[in-house]
Amino acid sequence: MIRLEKKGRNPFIVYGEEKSIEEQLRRNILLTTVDAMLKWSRRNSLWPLPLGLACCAIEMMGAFFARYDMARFGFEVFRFSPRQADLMIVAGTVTRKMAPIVKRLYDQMSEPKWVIAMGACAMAGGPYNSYAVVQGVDNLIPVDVYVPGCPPRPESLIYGIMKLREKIKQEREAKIL
Amino acid sequence: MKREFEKDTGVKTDIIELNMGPQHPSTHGVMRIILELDGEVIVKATPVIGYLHRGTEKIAENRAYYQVVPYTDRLDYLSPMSNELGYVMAVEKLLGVEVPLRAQYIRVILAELARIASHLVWLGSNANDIGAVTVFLYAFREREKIYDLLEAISGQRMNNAFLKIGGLAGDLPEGWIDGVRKFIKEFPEKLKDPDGLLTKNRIWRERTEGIGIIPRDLAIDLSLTGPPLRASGVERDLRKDTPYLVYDELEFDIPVETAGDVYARYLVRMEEMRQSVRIIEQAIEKLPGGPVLIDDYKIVPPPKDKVYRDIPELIHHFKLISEGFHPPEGEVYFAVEAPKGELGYYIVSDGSNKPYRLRIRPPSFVNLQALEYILPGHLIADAVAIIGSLDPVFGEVDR
Amino acid sequence: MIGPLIKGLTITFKYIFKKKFTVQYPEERRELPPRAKWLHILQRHEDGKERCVACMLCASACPTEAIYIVGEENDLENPISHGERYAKVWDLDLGRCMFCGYCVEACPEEALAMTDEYELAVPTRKDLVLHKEDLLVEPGTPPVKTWLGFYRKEPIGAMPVTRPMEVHVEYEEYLKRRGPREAHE
Ligand code: SF4
Ligand code: SF4
Ligand code: SF4
Repeated sequence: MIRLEKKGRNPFIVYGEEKSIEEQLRRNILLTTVDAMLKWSRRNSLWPLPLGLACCAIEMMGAFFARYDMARFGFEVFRFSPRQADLMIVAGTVTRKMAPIVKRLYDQMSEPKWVIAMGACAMAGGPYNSYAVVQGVDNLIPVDVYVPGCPPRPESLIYGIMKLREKIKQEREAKIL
Repeated sequence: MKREFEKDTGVKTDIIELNMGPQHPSTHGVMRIILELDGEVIVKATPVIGYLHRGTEKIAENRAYYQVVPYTDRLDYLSPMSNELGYVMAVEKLLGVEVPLRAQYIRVILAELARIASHLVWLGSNANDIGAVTVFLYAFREREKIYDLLEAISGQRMNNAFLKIGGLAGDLPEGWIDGVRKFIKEFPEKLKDPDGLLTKNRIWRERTEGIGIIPRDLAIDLSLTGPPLRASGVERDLRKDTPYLVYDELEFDIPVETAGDVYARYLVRMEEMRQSVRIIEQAIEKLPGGPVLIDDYKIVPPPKDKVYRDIPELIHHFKLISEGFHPPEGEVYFAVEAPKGELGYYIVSDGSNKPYRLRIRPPSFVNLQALEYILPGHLIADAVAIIGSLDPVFGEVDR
Repeated sequence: MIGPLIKGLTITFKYIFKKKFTVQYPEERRELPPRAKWLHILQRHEDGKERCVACMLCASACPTEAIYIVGEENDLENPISHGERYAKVWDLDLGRCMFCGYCVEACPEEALAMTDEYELAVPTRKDLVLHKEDLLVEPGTPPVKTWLGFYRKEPIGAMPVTRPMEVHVEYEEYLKRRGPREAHE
């Protein structure tokens, strides 16, 4: 978030810089290079599983089409099958009836996997503070990046994905297994 | 039921049950259909809905009247302006106010833009389901232009929260009308691209003609509305039958087809887009000057510069924002012709500042019933074409 | 069979040499229209005092209850706002907000305005709640006059051309003063 960054608070620096000796030993030279390679390739071709549940799905589709064209970043392939995707974009309201399905789809994705919660509903229930809506998809699955908006502009989503790439870069070690 | 495959080959087969959805690219949201299949042929289809039930109606009972408007945006999220229109007009009917003429014309323009935007998504996704991906790209390109117009007027691309009970949140920004003029001038030309790719295309016609026929009687029995009804040969359009706003001063035709199949619904919607362009053209020509909000400070907030200056206006402002207004006791039903069909709002008022009950009649919900009747007998590959042609939007079906 | 194919391909090939429709987003940020309803700011008077007087109107106008305010009496010696009270806590929950602009419309002090900042992604749910410190502008920032609640006077003349709006002009000036937004990342 630019506002926070201007005030000297980058919320995206999540991992500390200092490393213990033990850890440095573990990350010997070969592994670090392989690590960097893996992370580089992963962050540059995330294949999203578009979980379009409500209004936000339309803006997500907007981000994939001509005007914003996410293919520029290597995200061109929509994978409707969770087995082939490594990024889940939860776009829309997760209701109680839908919750088990969201959870199952997440479980079916193969590691490593990331999740973006797009829109107020997916982040925290949004405008729907009601009996039928799960108050945030992070009650079900871990979320890496939250993209606020109702619905977020396609640019907001792209910004969120850029931030996710930063985050993958910062991850301590690529999850090899 | 004697099964085809068994009849032909003598091999005994079982009926298999197939779950389509809720996460499926061509159910247009979150619907599940339990299909019972005999080989490739559907013998029974049971739609299961409710995966997007968000409790809008219940939430509305706990909000002041003016606070419900943004929630109605999110019903049929392909055309937020039409939903707002239905709701604000229902409340205006309850209050017995009439908005200024200029606001009415602008509302017509916005509602027709919303209709085009909604039909474009339908066009793109229905064609995409059948296999013509290019059309989707063209449709979304045009839709982006409508988004730009809506953003310039309301500040948001979707879910605009722009209509107010008693008028509009603001007058048109400078140059907006020129933007609309440019759009409607170019749009029919651009619509020729998907038209050229589909209308006479043999593959498209073979996939759509004679598929998913809704006979006229069935359409009436199921009380379908909107394009599915008009494609079955019934000429019903609330804009003509019970004219609201200024539709009776504008000239337009209602496209009607008699075949009742997917192709007929395609033709009806394509023609509706062209008619919408016609309506907008006339509305722009006739657009009068004047205010866009009524002057009753019990219903609409007073202008801000007055609020800063005058004490009575400041009091009105505080009272209206913190409490809302109290419409008289009673009940109203008001319906508009949304892109999907008859979108009705039924409001029961007990005289307090919140609706006692808000019931929404969503057109897609009613139209979706037809699935159960028309899917059996078709190949499973045709199911996506039929679902797409009914154009359900689940924000509205499940509310 | 060949006829329709050629026809289809003519339509698609037509676009090869057309102007590209794509916005190169992170490098090129489209300027939003002046009415854009994105992240809120809390404004200050020219003398650096906060405008918000903790009247709670924005919180009660909000359909989603996204705003949480705790007001406190001003210290007479060293007031924080011009009114009797000021907002000790002013939190906005982006996890609820639907950017409808009703709060801005409600604010009687022009304390709230909406900007065109839409790059809002955050990594944890805690960061979704923005506090007063995050939203408050620096002292000396030129005021943004919002359109919400202002654009209602009738345009002069009967024809559809709407008159140039002062607010619009002011916003344009603000954009000019602010200068181009530096490209981030
Ligand atoms: S966040 Fe807003 S736009 Fe997105 S699904 Fe929820 S209500 Fe719809
Ligand atoms: S923009 Fe709307 S939802 Fe967001 S804080 Fe303001 S009133 Fe509430
Ligand atoms: S922001 Fe405005 S409306 Fe909200 S408490 Fe402050 S002065 Fe009142």
